[in-house]
Amino acid sequence: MDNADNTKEPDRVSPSTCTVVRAATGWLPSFSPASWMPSLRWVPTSDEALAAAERTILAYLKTPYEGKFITVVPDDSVTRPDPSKASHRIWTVSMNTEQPISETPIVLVHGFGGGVGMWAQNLDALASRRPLYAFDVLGFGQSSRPAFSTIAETAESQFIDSMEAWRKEMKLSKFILLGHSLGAFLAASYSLKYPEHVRHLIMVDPWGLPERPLDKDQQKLPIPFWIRTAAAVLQPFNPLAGLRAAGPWGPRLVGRFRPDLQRKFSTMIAEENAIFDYIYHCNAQAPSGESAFKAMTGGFGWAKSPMSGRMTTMASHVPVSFIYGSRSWIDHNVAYTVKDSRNDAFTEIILVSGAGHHVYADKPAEFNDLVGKICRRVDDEDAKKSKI
Amino acid sequence: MPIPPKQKITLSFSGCGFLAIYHVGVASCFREFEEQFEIERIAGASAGAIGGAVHLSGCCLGKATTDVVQLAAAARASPVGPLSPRFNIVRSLRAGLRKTLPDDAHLLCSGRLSVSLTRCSDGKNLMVSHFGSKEELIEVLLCSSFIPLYSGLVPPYYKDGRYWDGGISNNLPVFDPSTVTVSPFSGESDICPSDKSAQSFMEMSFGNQNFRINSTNAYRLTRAFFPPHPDHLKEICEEGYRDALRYIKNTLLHCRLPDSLVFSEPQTPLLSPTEEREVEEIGVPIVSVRSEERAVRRRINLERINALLEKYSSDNPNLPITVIEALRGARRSTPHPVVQILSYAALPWILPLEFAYSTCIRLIELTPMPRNMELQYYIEVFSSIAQRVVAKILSRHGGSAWVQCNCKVETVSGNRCVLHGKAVINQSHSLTFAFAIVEESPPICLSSSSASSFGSGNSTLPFSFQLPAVEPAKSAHAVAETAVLISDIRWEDGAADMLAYEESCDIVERFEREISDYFQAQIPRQSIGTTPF
Repeated sequence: MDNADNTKEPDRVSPSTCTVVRAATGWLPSFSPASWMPSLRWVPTSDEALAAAERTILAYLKTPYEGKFITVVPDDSVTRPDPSKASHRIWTVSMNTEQPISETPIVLVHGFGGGVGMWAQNLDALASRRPLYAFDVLGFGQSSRPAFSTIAETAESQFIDSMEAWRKEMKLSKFILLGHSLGAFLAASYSLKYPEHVRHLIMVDPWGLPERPLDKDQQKLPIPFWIRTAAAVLQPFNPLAGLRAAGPWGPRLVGRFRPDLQRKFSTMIAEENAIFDYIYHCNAQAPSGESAFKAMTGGFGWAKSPMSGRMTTMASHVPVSFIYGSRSWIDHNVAYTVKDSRNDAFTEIILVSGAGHHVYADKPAEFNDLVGKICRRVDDEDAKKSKI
Repeated sequence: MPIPPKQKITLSFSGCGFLAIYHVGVASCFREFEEQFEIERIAGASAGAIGGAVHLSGCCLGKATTDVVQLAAAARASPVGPLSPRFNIVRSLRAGLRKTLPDDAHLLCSGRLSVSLTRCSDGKNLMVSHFGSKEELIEVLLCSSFIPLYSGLVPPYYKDGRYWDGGISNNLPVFDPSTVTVSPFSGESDICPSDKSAQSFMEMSFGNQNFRINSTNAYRLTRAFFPPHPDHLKEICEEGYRDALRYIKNTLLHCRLPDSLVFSEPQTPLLSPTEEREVEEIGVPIVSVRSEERAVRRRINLERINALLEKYSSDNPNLPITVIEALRGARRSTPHPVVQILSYAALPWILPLEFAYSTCIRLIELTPMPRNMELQYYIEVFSSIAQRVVAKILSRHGGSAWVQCNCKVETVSGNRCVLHGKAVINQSHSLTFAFAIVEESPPICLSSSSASSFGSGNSTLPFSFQLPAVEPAKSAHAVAETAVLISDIRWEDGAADMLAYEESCDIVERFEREISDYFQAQIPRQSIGTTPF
């Protein structure tokens, strides 16, 4: 399928922005966007490469889509490390906005280190009845990569703020919000702050729910000194620093470490390296969202402000569906605590058997079916209410 | 109360070296729930395949534990651990499997056990699930657990090629998506340690299996190759039991998930049209509209197993006594701390020697010399062939005889070795065999002299074949018959022994007929009537 048919080219990036991004990315700055010395970069990535990688993946979609940058100006009340660069660009993919069967749109929030392309196997199905908006979270994918605060609360509010500004710009009033992993955490946080816009919250294998257990609960196996030392040495680095440090070997590293990712998408995406390329280019650029994630975690990946306790205060008119992969290492028992604490508010917990952490990619058919049914239930409820 | 049918389960045991003790824990747990679940099939790679074979052939888990513990103890005996030249893991495993597996293991495992292998030539994965004999099963298991460089340099031989550890290409083989995957490494498996102490996203995938990147997993990975202290073996075993129990309780029995929905059948609609109406009110969870029939079945099942679960309410592993005993036995066998400290102190001096020695041994093993052929084994095979041939021949002629077989290596040169044996049938008859074993497998022709040539005119023979002249024995007394059997045996590092044997049996059987014909033609004409039996 030809991209030109169904995509609008993204706004041209101004040369100055390009240089800034590249200088931040590589060790060796490229002197100009000259095509004759592309190999002068240590990390072989660029905005263009990422955009191309995403286009390759989205070319397999059957429904036409529109990709564009939305310029958002976040709220001034949120403190930011660099207040001067207040406006951000959020890369947004919209589908089925013209004549949807149902009015309630669905908004997808991807997880850590991902982007819109990760939903490749879900976009068609989820957009079949309603408008669908998927955006790259601020600091990830093709969106702007601003400096994030190192304080967990501020970093989180920077995310939430950009999401709210994006919503205003998109002129959405009420939508179904679906988040995966870190995206589920952000979606929950957004629903806490702006419950009036969330019609239904779907949290897919959410990160950051449980509270960090006390040390005495930790397992008994003795970790040898050298492993503890290595872990301690790696602690201050960003999670994917190795990928960037590997420079030209980085693209191969993704395929080497996560060959399973390609398998997950193999039924849809014929090109062998498309998904590796996409993930590489998503993460090889300046670590912005990644540092924010780091700021939001204590040691060993625990959330500094875990969501399980905070969700107690979530407005009871926001129904919540938890979707977990049965093989995922994320513990789903904590969702029952949330369910109990929310009393009469609708909360359901669904296990997709045989799926791992990436539920939507491991079992796309089941996932799409499940989410489709949840969405249709929402429609039915709305229809019933409007009749009354 | 109607007894619900047993739920059929297929398991997949991941390859994990010495952490196989985790699979013992898992198997122990499933044996506790034998009344509810039937393990239909098991797929496995490496140590997981061995675990699967042990479980499917109904071996005593205590005995299997003892084997693992002994192997671990042997590997820990040297300061360099399993890298020591004294530790030959392939040989130890073979001996252990021969001892532990029952004689009909191949029948019990055929069709139920799938073993993942990696072909050396192209790195492709191969799943083997049919085994002709116990020895073949053992060879397949050895191939599947051969870690290059660690286990040795020359991979074992199975059927038509050499194979490496199945974990290299597929460490977590599955039959279908519903296979329950078991892995001692924390990751995306159904039964695996949860490692609740870390929540990091970092994951990596190897051999079809996902591992989380955390320090406990790093520790486990080292312990897969360098066995842990017996105390930790016990902990890993208990962990396996606990994780399996948690899986059985949470997922298979849905006990602690009273209102969850396990969504596994994409073709069945989540809500039927009639049910959909009920869900319209907010607050009705999807699961409350489960089909009545299924709920009844579940209730019956739950009642039956409630009593069992009471027993496990504390989550304490309830390992079989034999397993506990075996693990306890290991603790006694750990060396005195002083001895250990001394051995560590001597390490800088011993280590270079050990490595030099080990390298030499491995190099010698690698060089193609007939000495490597485990001649003793071939001699056994040969004499058994000789005895069978002689017994058969005699049974045709009636009467019994004392048969004495002497075999010896006659010539060892270059790439071939000739075994020479003599079977004394009676005082007047003796049969002499020669058995050539040649490295390569071109059809060989020993002696093409003018003599009576059996089979040269026989079209059923696979290759041209000539028997040397029938010479009278050197015995002064009577006429003796001499025959020479030549068989073409490929020798390939032990693995092909059985095949070679079968092949040679086949050839020998063809010759039996010929020899017997020959004798029938010869003996009556000569002095058989006067032979004192």
